[in-house]
Amino acid sequence: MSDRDLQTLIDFRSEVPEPDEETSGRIYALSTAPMAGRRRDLGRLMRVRRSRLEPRVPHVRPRWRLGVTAAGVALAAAAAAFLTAGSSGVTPGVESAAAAIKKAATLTAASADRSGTVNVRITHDGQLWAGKVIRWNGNGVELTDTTTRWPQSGYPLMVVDGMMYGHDPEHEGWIELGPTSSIDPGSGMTPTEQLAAIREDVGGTTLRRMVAMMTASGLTNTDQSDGSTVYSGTVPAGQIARETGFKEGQAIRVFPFGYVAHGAAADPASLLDTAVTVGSAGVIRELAVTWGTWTYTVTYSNLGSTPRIVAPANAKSLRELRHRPPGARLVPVPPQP
Amino acid sequence: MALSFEEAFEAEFASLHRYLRRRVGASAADDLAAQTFATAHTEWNRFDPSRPLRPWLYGIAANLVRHHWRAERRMLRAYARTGVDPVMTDDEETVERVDAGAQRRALAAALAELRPRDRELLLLHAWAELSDSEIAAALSWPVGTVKSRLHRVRRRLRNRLGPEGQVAMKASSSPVKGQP
Repeated sequence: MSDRDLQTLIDFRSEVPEPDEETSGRIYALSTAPMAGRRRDLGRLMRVRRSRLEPRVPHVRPRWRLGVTAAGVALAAAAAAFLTAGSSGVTPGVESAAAAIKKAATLTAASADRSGTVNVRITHDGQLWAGKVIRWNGNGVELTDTTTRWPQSGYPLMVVDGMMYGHDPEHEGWIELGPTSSIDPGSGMTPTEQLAAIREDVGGTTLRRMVAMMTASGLTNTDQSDGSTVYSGTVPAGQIARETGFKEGQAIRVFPFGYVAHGAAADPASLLDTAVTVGSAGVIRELAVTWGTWTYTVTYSNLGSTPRIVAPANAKSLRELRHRPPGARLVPVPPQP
Repeated sequence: MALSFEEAFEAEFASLHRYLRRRVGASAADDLAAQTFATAHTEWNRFDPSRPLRPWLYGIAANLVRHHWRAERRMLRAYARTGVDPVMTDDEETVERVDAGAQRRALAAALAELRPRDRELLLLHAWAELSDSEIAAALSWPVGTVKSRLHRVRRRLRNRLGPEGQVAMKASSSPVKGQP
């Protein structure tokens, strides 16, 4: 890259204007969202985005100060309150709920960035049909199938420091499956891609899209005795289960965290009942989607505090496994007394 | 004297927001800036004030931007293909079209084809204006690695763009083999 190209590259960024005071104030308020009692007001602040309909205000290059910012926050809050009260056909309570749930999605994404745990379950008539627990910390990830009918259930697939580990029930031991670099990039199966997908589903575009649809379709909220709030609404199935391919002329749609949608959930136009539980700390605790007798539930926990994923001790390499006689155990059976 | 969070926000917000906006567009930049500073606010008590602030903040931002690498590549490819900068047209506040010359389009195409990690490295250098040691701190890499990789990335771009910034535009449509 020549110096001229580098300068051109630098010029790309030079053209981007500095954020205005309203943006600064809004994001400062959001970043420091202090306590549950102020969430509602802060949520309103998030709604004060500049509209296309508003005239463009000449940008004043700022040397803004916090005092000015605080004034900006107050003005924005006043403007938000005015806009909220003035919007036709929507009550302030609904506006607040919409803002609060959007804020919860943002906070959840920030909390989940480093580490977290999700428990994903699909139930039919109250019985567990499929499920898994996913834990992640940094670049380490652990996926455990909680469906009891599979032999591998209860044993996780792990990625630690770029190495994949699995458990082979036949040999009753941990196996070092190989480096993650051996997986084809772009296949959607690399740990990096998996982690990106997990984060997108936990607090990224999937969740934001669902929240936006719930808000648009008429959001209701119910305060719980434990301080949490359940937000309910309907979301078109197509906004939850993404199209990943075709099979025999039919689109295959997959829920977040990787379960194929079926029945009404496979019809992108079906409106599915959706409930999002936001804990007292303002972070999403659970997401539940219901259609017919089926329920898809994602429970979030330990966002930001899930322990480091540790590689299993005494894992054997695949090479070693291949040279063992059939039926031999990787972990020797201890001698009987 | 240690900075307060408010002072840190005042000092770094505008710069970080512009960096993020240049990379992922205005709407996503708002979200990412909020997430970056929300994380910083949460971790503020654990931040060692003797360490430089900027690499820490950009390190947080880098972890967040990493999840947007497909969108970023899409925008760069669109820029290369059309000459219209999506970053300058996707937001409400800017309505004018910004048409780019051949050199810029070529550069956008070349950036799109970089591996996400290499792009991160180059843009922390060119757009965030971090020094090698600051980039090393932001990405948790050794300084030597930053220097050598930056050198390799620049050489790769020079080979692709040519001495006068010319490029074979057709290459911009080739798929990328790589991971973020």
